[in-house]
Amino acid sequence: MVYSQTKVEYEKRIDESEIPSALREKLYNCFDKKVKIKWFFQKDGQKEVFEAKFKYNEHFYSVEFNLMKVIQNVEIIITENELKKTTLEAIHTKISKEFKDFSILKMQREYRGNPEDLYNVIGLKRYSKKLDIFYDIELNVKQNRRRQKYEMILDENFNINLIRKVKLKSTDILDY
Amino acid sequence: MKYYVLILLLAISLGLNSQSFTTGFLPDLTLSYKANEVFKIVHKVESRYPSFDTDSETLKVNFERLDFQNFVERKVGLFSKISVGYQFRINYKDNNEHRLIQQIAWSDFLRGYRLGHRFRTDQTFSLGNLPEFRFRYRLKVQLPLQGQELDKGEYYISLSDEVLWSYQSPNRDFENRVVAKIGLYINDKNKIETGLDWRADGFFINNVEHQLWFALSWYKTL
Repeated sequence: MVYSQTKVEYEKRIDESEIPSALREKLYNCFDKKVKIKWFFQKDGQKEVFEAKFKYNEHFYSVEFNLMKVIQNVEIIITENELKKTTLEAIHTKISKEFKDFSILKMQREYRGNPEDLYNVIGLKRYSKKLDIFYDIELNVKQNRRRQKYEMILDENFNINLIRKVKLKSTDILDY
Repeated sequence: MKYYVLILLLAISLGLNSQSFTTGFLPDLTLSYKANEVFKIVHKVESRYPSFDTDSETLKVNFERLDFQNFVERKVGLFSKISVGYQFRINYKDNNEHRLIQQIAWSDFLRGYRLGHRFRTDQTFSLGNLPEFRFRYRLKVQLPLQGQELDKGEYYISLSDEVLWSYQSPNRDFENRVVAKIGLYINDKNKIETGLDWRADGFFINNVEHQLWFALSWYKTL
């Protein structure tokens, strides 16, 4: 298990023209209808990536590319209802071992593997058995009578890959 | 600055056609810091400088009031907090005022923007005036201009609408405040905003007064 430092991310919207046309075409070829993609450059202290975010077939996708523009992973936001009962129970059991009082704020299923298999996840919804699956979960946790936000990543066997506290941005401009 | 002068002249020309209109400057500074692991202290200083109104029709910067607000804030959820506060207002022409404030605020972090809700009640007391009671709700949205998340050095737009219902015997009143600002998120401890704050009140007493303020705000966290 890895306890990491507070998550600090930097993200900047970039124009589609900054993405090589071959890569853009490969991604657009995955879709059978018009999809609007927003491109971002992201840095989280450990890595720098390009990210494509879009909504397709009622799901929000986030597709990550390294600086060489090679696809790295595909993340899909899911709800608890979309998971098999046994999977959901296993996730809850694992989180309960770390935190007594929690609720799930957001959950993403992440696929990692070879590029062709990852493109197939988006377009064909074909999930190769060679793909690694992770669950990236944002949690509202009560610790020492205070609410904190945590991120937890579980692998497909529900082993904890990462736990880190997420620093929330101040809300003074919204409150006063 | 030249844009302010242009907008000021435009506001004056529009104001001359309305029944009652005031415009001027509205700077404020908000300072916050943790008192301990549970409570946060917030101080706010705000001043008003009316520079033109349709009654006098003269262009002159006047000092009207200076507010000192102090709050004690407690987080009650991951995205919600309650605060109680006290405000002392120095009025240039009228008696000084004391105000008690209670508020609950919560935020929603949505894809690409943040929403802030604020429900506030306050009670104002001053010599020679009956107490005034107000109930207020404000919805504010913060939109990053360079991505889905707001990062250091980036600009954002903040838009808000606040409705206020007040009672000062025997009168009730309703006020609406619309604020549009552009902000610079220097870092999480320093934010600067500037923009327009339009206020309209007197709806229940059939004497609608419009105010347009040029606001400049600095949010500082220690």
